[in-house]
Amino acid sequence: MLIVSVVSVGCWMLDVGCWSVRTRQCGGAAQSLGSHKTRNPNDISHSTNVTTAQPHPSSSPSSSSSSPSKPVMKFLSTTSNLLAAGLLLCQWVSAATPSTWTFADATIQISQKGAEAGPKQKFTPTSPISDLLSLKTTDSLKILLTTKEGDTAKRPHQLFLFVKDTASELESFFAFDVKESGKARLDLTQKDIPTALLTSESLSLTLALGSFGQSTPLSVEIAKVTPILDAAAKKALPEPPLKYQKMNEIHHIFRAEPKSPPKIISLVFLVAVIVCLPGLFGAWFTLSANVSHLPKSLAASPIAHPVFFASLLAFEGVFFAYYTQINIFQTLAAAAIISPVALLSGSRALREVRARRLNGER
Amino acid sequence: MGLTLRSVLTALVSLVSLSQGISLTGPRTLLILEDEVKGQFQTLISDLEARGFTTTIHTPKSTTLTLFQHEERVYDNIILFPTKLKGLGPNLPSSSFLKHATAGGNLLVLLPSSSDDNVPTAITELATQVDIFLPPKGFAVVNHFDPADAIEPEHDTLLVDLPTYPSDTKNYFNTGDDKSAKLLYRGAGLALGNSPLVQPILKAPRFAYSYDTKESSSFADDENVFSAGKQLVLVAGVQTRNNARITFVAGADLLADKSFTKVAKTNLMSGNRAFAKDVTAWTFKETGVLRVDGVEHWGEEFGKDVVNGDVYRIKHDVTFSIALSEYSYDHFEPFTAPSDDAVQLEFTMLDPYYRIQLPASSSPLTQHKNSTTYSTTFKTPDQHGVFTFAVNYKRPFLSNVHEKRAVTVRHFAHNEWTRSWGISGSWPWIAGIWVVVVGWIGFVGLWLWSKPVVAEGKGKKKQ
Repeated sequence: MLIVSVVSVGCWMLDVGCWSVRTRQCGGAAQSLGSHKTRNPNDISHSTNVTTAQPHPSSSPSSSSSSPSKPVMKFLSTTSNLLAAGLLLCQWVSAATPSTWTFADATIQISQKGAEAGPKQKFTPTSPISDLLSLKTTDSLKILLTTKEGDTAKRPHQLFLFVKDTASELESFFAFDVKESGKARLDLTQKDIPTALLTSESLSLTLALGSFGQSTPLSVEIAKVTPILDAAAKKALPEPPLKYQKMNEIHHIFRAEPKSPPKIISLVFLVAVIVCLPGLFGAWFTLSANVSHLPKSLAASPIAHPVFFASLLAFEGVFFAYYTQINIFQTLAAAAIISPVALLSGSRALREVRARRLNGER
Repeated sequence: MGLTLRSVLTALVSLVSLSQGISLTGPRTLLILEDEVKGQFQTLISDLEARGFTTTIHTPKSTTLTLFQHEERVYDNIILFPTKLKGLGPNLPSSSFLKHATAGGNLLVLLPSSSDDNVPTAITELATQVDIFLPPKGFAVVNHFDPADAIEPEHDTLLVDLPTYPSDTKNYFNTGDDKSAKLLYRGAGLALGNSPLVQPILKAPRFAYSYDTKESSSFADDENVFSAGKQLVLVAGVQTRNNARITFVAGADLLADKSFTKVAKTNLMSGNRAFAKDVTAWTFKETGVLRVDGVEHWGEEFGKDVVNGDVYRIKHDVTFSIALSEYSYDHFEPFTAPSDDAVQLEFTMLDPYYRIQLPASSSPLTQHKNSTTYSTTFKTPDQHGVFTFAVNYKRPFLSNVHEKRAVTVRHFAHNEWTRSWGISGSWPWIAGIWVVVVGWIGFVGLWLWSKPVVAEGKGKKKQ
């Protein structure tokens, strides 16, 4: 049985789906909602229907085509007393007439470890506990009830508490401890509940009560419990196991895109920088800078001065070309051609400037 | 020449496949059963033979039976029928089944429906090895809430709805005409471990439970209940990493002739026969097998002229598409992913940096007529290196698709960067350079040609 408990805790993640099978199977509750509506677990969780699944075949949910079978079934149910008396007497089914499994004196109690036990809350098959219970890490939940077949207290073969995560539809079960007198007891602490259910927002507790023979079994949602995990328990929760399914999308960004300041700011500073140029020339000319000696220079050295100045412009032109088009080798070649021109013409031009200085014209 | 050779080969292959049957693994099917069991499964066996499987019968104790000859699989599929024996013969240890599956063979295990019958230890061992757990002898599933027969007090024949799955899983087990048909089930049930390779095919009804019929006949106490509700599995399928399939049916009666009958309660035919077909078809790879018909990727840089090139550039659009088809009994047809599922593309460099959806799209791969093309366009990340286009499509009941294509993602060449004038933030700085250049030229001119304006006679100004 060790394996059983390990496994039944183990295979949670596999079992997320397929609940619509179950909801259709579980009798009245789901049927009353219509199977297509049961996609939303909330529909189920808010309806605390008492489910008395019909053992008689006329409860087949979807088949309009079951009508041919109905006369037979009617015959069966009307003559069930006879049949039971005749056929089932020898069997160990005790009830001669089909009755209903039910329970009485049912209470639920949450008590904290080391503290006073909480109030006993009563519930019946028709009135489940309406307020949401909460189960803290150290709390234990105790359910006491007496099972009855019809009016007589009796032990059924099955008395399980099904604990279901209303969101994921995962469900686990706990068997009650039942005496032959029908007195049943279940103690449930948080650590008994599989971890996959503990992360749930709300667990619905459903009582399933049934036995062999003709008596109608009973399933009823008795309460809703919110498990509250403390920080340590939260940390101890294991990773959910790997499941083959669609995975989360990833859009990794290695580095952010480079950003520029708003264009308007760049433009303001651009204008500010450009304005400096006329400012500079303006300042020079107000400080009496001029080009009055140009004709004189050209007359003195008509080749050197223009060539020198042109070679300087050519240098800038080469640099501009390097910036926009040509590569470093073309740039060096161009510079190698311009340099001697600039050197020779420069020395001639500067000689003329020196002559002017020596004449006291500068 | 090459073309004719290829067409001859294709013709040969199609001929062979026609004559050999339809399972993708192969038609050679071994039935391990005793003679008295065969009578209970006539319909199952004849249905299989009608679908093209060739059957060979051996008893579990057979000494002539061998699963491997010259290290090759002798059979493609094995069905293990329930047996009264405590152990299988010396030629059938649990390791032989695993070896069979490792070699790509499929296996269908039918466990006895009666709680009095034994499960041979080899099968229990095999089940444990694939993360399936069987209850000990003597367990039976009962459901008081919806028994198949209202008169029978035992409640051990269950009425089970055909399985449904979450909307992201394909349902291969509900292909019969009557979708609301009920299955008749009798058996002990299974519990599954956490392995992603094992999937529940059919689960028990919500309030059903499996209990020890010997120990707890009057009351199902905690000690003697194996499992209950949705945790209790009636049929489970395992797909190994090499896509071999092993299916466990916890109650053989599910597939037996006596269940291919009318359900007393509804007076309608049970869904068992169609379900038996679905289960065998899935197990023997007639359904749920995917094929990759083509993978293509190209970049914005060269367009569709260079398809499946091996160099891409960072921060450039790349289109990736994969064509998938799915086998269905005797032909491949376009594969459509379930509504809530998605084929996903990963762009990985050790770790996935992108994982994006591949929506089904109209196909640029016109050469693949019988497949669905899943395609997407994305921008390569700002990181150079060797990246891999990976489609890792592993889903319940589908054979694994794991396609990888490694490509180089190079960084920008020096002349591919945005030029400085294209960056608005650099404008003041560029302007600064040109202001200095023009200012300097102007200064040189002034220095060369400026005439001093000092008054005559006041002497010359020192430089």
